[in-house]
Amino acid sequence: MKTILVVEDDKNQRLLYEKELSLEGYNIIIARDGLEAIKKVKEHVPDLIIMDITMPKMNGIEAMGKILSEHKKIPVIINTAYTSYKDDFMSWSANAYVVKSSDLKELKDKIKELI
Amino acid sequence: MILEKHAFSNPNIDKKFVNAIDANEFVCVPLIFKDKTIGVICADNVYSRKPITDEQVELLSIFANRAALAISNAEVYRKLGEKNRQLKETREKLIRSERLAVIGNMAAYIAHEIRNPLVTIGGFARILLREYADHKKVKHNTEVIIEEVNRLEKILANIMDFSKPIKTVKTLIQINELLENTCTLMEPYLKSIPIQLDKKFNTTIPKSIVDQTQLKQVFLNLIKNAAESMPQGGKLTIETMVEDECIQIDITDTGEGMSPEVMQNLFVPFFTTKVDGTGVGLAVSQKIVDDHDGFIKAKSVLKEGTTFSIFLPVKKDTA
Ligand SMILES: Nc1ncnc2c1ncn2[C@@H]1O[C@H](COP(=O)(O)OP(=O)(O)OP(=O)(O)O)[C@@H](O)[C@H]1O
Ligand SMILES: [Mg+2]
Repeated sequence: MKTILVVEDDKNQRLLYEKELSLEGYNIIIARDGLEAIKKVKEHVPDLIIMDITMPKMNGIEAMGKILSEHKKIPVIINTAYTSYKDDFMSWSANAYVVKSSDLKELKDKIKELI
Repeated sequence: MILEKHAFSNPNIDKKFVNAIDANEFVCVPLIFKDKTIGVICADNVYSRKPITDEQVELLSIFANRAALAISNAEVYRKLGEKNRQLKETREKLIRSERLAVIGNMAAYIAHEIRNPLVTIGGFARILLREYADHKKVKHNTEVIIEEVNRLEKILANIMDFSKPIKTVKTLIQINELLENTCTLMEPYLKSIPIQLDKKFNTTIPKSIVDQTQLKQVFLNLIKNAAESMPQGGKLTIETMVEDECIQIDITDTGEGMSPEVMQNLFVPFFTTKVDGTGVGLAVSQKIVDDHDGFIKAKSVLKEGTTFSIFLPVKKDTA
């Protein structure tokens, strides 16, 4: 079973992702901010990371940089409510940028594409 | 200063001039301002038929000095007025873009904060719908929630788009071509209403240096507005021309037109009279045209229609 790390500061959104993505047959682990994400990756290297950008303690971009410097191969999907960074995400070495939507289809499709 | 007493017999004077004034005596004094001759005053004795006296010449000289000063001052005032107008325009543009930036940042923040819980609401509504698909009432009620969430998400996407910082990439292109592309994009939509599209492109307009994507956005916004003002169908005319160093693009509809109150608020961000409008179309369009050193004007008659005109400067060195 593939493991996905969901990094998201919103409690209810984490619940939603856990519920929906488990149904798709993934093992879900969660982190509430960038610092915790780094810790979680050290504990069990996930097959994919879904990363929010704006979070307390450490934002998603910084956390992604730190994680990728040790685990270059883990695919990362940036998942944020902001549409405006979409043009920049390439330079952040993320694999995809999915704008948050209540319809998780695009996110699920991207996951299937990457793992 | 020239004082001539025998104009008719003086061979040095242009005959045409003598015939024109038809006088044997005349005097010319220059209008001088700051060592520059800006004109000449000629006086003759056609009406008085009396010889021109030295005192009269003196008086004329004094008058000429005053007149030269007055004329120059008037010119300086005119130039000052022009500069003032330019200054005011630049200042207004600056205020507009600053206001837009502030509103944009605020809007982006609010949209972000609302979108997050909305994702959760809509997401769980979808789960409900799936888990109770065979329960008629739950199904119906949940569908309403999802529909409304979708609507809100669309509005938020519009607001986010509005506040997106725009990166400008300008290239040399023919505006007619860009308009043609935009029309092709919109044609199926226009036909479905049905709206008749009339293109009057002036093929002699010079190429211009513009950001294609942004300008296309402007055309799309204006065409969309025109179409939305003609829900029962009508005619949309798109015309291009060259006018006083400007490329002018007119987008005219035969729609409902606008009241003076609406006209006053057209470009105010989030001003809308539409049920599902966001009110950003024209604010964004104006910002883009501002960035191209151009301007937008609107003319409208209620119940008859509206014309939006975009003016883009022709840049001589690049045309
Ligand atoms: N061609 C037109 N005919 C009549 N009214 C117009 C026309 N264009 C603009 N308006 C008026 O100006 C308002 C503002 O237009 P604008 O394009 O900025 O926002 P909108 O069309 O309401 O929403 P959005 O473009 O964000 O979807 C409109 O709501 C409408 O009242
Ligand atoms: Mg509009």
